Amino acid sequence: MIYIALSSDGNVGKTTLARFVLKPHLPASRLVEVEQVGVEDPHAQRTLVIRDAAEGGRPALTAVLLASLQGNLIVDVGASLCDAVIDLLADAHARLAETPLTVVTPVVLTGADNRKSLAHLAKIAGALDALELGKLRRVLVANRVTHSDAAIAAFKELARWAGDHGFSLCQTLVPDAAVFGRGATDGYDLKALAATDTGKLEQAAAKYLDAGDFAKLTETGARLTAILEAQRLAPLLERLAREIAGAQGG
Amino acid sequence: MQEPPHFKRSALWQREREITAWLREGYSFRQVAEELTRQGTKVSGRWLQEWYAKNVGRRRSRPRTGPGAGAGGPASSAAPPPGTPTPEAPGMNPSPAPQASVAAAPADTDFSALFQSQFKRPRK
Repeated sequence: MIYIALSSDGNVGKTTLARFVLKPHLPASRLVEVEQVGVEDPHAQRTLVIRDAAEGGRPALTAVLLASLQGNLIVDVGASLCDAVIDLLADAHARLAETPLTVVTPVVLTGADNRKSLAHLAKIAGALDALELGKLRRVLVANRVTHSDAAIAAFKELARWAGDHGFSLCQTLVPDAAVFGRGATDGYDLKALAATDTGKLEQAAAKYLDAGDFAKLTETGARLTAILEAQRLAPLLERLAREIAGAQGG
Repeated sequence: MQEPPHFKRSALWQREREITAWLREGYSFRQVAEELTRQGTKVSGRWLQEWYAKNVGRRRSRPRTGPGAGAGGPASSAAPPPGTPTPEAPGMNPSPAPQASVAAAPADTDFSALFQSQFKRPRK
């Protein structure tokens, strides 16, 4: 199975989705990040980074795609290269026609007006239609969701749009959580963070409290908060991964 | 594809660019179909989607998804191309506006419950 985190909209959570949702769910999979020239990310060392997929990096990405027909591959596509990667999929049509392929697109909805987001999605939908790949699935993930009447209305609109355009909409809502949002850029390992034993930090907090050291207390509190948030998110992200992977059956 | 009654294939082709512009603006196939039906070309959203994928999607090069694509905004992208005979009224405003689709969403889908179930505070 090839998973492609793809959106022509920037900063919607593609990398986060690839690193913290799909990769932990498929630990044996290859994770490839496709970035534009000039983008440097020191925390991307664990993955293969292909730059300039529109030109110089194109053969490498084609090779990665075709080398992964039998295994699991996760491709995280930079927003500006969305079109180039879809073109590449079209060029590899002959080999991908029978390959299960899932395009996962995160969406950040605002309460007020989501026409711009839906316009981005419509372009992707049109391009994916034109690929005519029999085993292509399209999945939408609502990211940075808040609990409000406007958010519910926006999600409802997205659900209707998804139905009209052949996308599955994940019912797991990704909240606007700091520990998750920062993850893509600062190299956090969310799973490891969630597994952190808070005992030592709690003891340290008691010590700082007794000593009246509120600066240290605040610092320790921030670390504890991040761990608790990661622990709260970890099962949610597992459920989301199962939903993305499981949707392949229907 | 079974053609619905009162359907004129030529009418769709005549308005193909306009349909593409609406889709690029974010309107759904259902919304576009509703607007076409309102203007006299009776067609369902699903049928329109199939027709578009089989005909326009195949013939036309893929819509550009790169930076700057569609940056002209809805008004300019929806404008009919030069030389294209403009059918009836320009349509689309105010009819299928995004707000309308929210209001017309299926009443049986309880997204409030979905949100409620996922946003309640975790209990130890």
